[in-house]
Amino acid sequence: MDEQLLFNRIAELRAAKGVSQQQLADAIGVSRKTISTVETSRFTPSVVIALHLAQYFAVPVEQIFSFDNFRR
Amino acid sequence: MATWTIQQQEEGIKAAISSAFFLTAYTGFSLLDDISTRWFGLPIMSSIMQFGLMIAVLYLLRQMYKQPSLLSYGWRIREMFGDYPDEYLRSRFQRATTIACQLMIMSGFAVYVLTMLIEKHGDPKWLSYKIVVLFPMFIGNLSFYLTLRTTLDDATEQNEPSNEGSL
Repeated sequence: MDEQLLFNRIAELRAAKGVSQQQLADAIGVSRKTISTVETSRFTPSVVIALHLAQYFAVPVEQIFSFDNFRR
Repeated sequence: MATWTIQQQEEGIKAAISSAFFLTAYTGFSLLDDISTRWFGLPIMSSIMQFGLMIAVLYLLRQMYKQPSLLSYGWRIREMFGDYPDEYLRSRFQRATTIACQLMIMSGFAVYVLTMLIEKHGDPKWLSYKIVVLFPMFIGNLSFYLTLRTTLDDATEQNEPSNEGSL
């Protein structure tokens, strides 16, 4: 099965909240590399990280991650 | 078992990269040293390779001097199993370990077969007990180093392209 690209809006949500990758990483207890690679779709996070992000940004997970490009 | 902080996990990765580089260089030069003497009869080349061994040792000493904390991480066997709470670091470490392990097994078997073939059909002078051990070590460490070396490369927030979209 081909790996499906997971689109995300982390950078946009981060910018809206005014936090850096490092601050976000510290807030949810992961490394900045994790945030950076998830943001650029180089790494697919677990449900735990996805839920932590949703909790942090106070939005449903579907508003952060999607199989469809958010730009459409 | 205490939970490691992100910084401790990154130090663990750095220690793994440094030790893999040292072992790659050391086993690589040892291998070339043995081959140049035994296969090609080139004592001058052998001396050059022995100088290369010194470079590898100097690299290790430099790392120990610059970052003495790496030593304590390098010796913790726990890292060998990729026990990283951070998902990205864990996935990279596990990937590097798996590929290195598979390549070591395959190259070990290849050298074993090659040894049998040389014994039966080739020149026994080519055989060296060192090569059988050094070759899989070299391949495994080289693979481990190459897979892991970019793990902690700094990617700035501004330079990284993102795939976010508008609302």
